[in-house]
Amino acid sequence: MNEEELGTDLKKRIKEVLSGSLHIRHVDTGSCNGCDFEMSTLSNPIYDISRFGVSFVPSPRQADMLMVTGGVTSNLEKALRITYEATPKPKMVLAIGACACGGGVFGETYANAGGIDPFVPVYVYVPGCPPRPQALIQGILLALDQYEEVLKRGE
Amino acid sequence: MFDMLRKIWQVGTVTEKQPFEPAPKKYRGKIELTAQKNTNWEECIAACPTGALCMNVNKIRLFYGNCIQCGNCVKICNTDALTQTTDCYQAVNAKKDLFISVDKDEEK
Ligand code: SF4
Ligand code: SF4
Repeated sequence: MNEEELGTDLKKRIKEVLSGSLHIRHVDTGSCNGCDFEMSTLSNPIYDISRFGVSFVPSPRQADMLMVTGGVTSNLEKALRITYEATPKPKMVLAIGACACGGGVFGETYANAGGIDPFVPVYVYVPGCPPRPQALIQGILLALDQYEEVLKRGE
Repeated sequence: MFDMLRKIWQVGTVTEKQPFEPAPKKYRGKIELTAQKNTNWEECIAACPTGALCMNVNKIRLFYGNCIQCGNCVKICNTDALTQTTDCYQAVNAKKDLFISVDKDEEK
């Protein structure tokens, strides 16, 4: 996917798939906050993702998409499960950053599970430490493609 | 208030235009792995802080999900087998797409 598609597509795709708005809930499962900062960069004036109809919401009950950062520490494993269950179906889950994809710098230890895929089904993996905001937008686009198929199947 | 208006006037629009500009030249992006003879694979693997680069019998395997794009392996590598690009678009749908592997002693 090239950059040109990326910008023009997001608005169009959100309109097609979700009729105009996408609500994202951010779940921190023990990240170093690098990825979280990149995510908050999306809503600043430089990237301004709100103009595409994307907004970050404070509760998982309002969300279409969960963005999970961090490699699931043993203390936050329960929080991830509860948040996932609280999100209405169908729900998208994005694994953001090397930590959420496979452990990253923290690896797999007694305190860190090393990736979120043992706990929740993942739609899209966005590697990088941290990934650029543009890469996050590409991740959202890929997730929307898959979401459309799920909606068509009527799950 | 006039200060604020003056500032708005001077700064103008900062929002990035579509399409987005490519990453800066110094950006550390995706690592490319190619097969090359006489590469010091052991040292490259030892330099990797996350274990993203590893050896599996005769295969060199790179797992993008773990790679933090630090560039240590590229610095150590004595051939062009490992190179760093400025590509940041790495999102994939399935985890198996994050693995790439090459033969250790093969020419590309
Ligand atoms: S992937 Fe890197 S930046 Fe993101 S939470 Fe993990 S260590 Fe921090
Ligand atoms: S860039 Fe860093 S983390 Fe990635 S394979 Fe090379 S040494 Fe390992």
